[in-house]
Amino acid sequence: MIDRLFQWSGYLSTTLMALGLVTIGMWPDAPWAPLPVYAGLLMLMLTPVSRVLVATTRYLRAGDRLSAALTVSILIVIALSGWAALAH
Amino acid sequence: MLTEVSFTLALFTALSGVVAGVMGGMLGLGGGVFLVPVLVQGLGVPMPQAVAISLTTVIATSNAVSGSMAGRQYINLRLGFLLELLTAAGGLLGSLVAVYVAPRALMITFSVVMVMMSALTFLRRAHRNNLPESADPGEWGGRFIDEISGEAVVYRVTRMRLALVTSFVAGVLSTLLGLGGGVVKVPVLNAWCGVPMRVVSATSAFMIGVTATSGALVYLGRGLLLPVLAASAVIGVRVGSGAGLRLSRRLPPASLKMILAAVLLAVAALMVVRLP
Repeated sequence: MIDRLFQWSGYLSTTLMALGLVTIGMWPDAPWAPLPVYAGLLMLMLTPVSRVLVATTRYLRAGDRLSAALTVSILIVIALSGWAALAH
Repeated sequence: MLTEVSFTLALFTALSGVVAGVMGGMLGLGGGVFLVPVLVQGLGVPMPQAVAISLTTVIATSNAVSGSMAGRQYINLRLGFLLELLTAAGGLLGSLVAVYVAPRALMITFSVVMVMMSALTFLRRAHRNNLPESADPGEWGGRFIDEISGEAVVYRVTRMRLALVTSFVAGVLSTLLGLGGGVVKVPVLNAWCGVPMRVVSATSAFMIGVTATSGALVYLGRGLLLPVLAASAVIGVRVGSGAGLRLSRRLPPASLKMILAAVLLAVAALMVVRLP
């Protein structure tokens, strides 16, 4: 069910981006024209992190603490690397 | 910085995205190694904006492949997460030491390693990592049904230390050279660590999306992501990754390995061309 949801979110984000390209092409000066593109990009970027969170929940439910700890550690390291990139 | 985007530029970016998507869907590579030089040298996009677009397409490839592979047991999440932890740590180290490393020496070393990996992948193209159905996959291995043969495949991860070190090095290189890291991990895990090609490419495709997310968000936050070009590239990638996935399911592993060997050789050549 959740996997299907992720698949559809992929289609939706691509559709939003395509729609955004059309709105930018038709109304290049309108401040709202790029909004569908930004919404699609944000949806795209949040999907991998959501997948990691879902996997963590599944591991916790299954009692697999090692794997759950691994996934949480990844999120922490990714957040740290993002911080390091911004700091430099 | 580029602020205006022409229709032609958007179109060529989308076409480049198609090629990157085919590579991602078929081999589990992010495609950044192809997309960045094309955008910078071919289409005149400044480097930071090209990297931002490339990272976005890596996420798109990852999402497309992960969605398509769901329920097929090709993605080994436990192994992927373990290796990803090392890759992310390597990426962190890479971002801290980036200013102290001579890019030219690094690129030459990387090119030599790529040529060696290409030769290794080609020479071991007939090697299979499949174990008998009754075999124990161990703590990090797994099972899946091969779509071509219809047989159950069992595999066990060997040389775990090598897999961990490779993942760490891939993380360092991905930050220093702006690559996804798949070009390093996929051949090593397949040739030396006992992981079948289909599992390596699917798991790699899933994990590179996780790695690319932090970088892409940083670029988006800094205002370096050109929305029109990013959207064009992502749409291209969606088209290409669908084709890549179909090819991946139809081609035998030996053919996939030959294509991977050719891509690695092309990566080495591209790196030499880009030498400062």
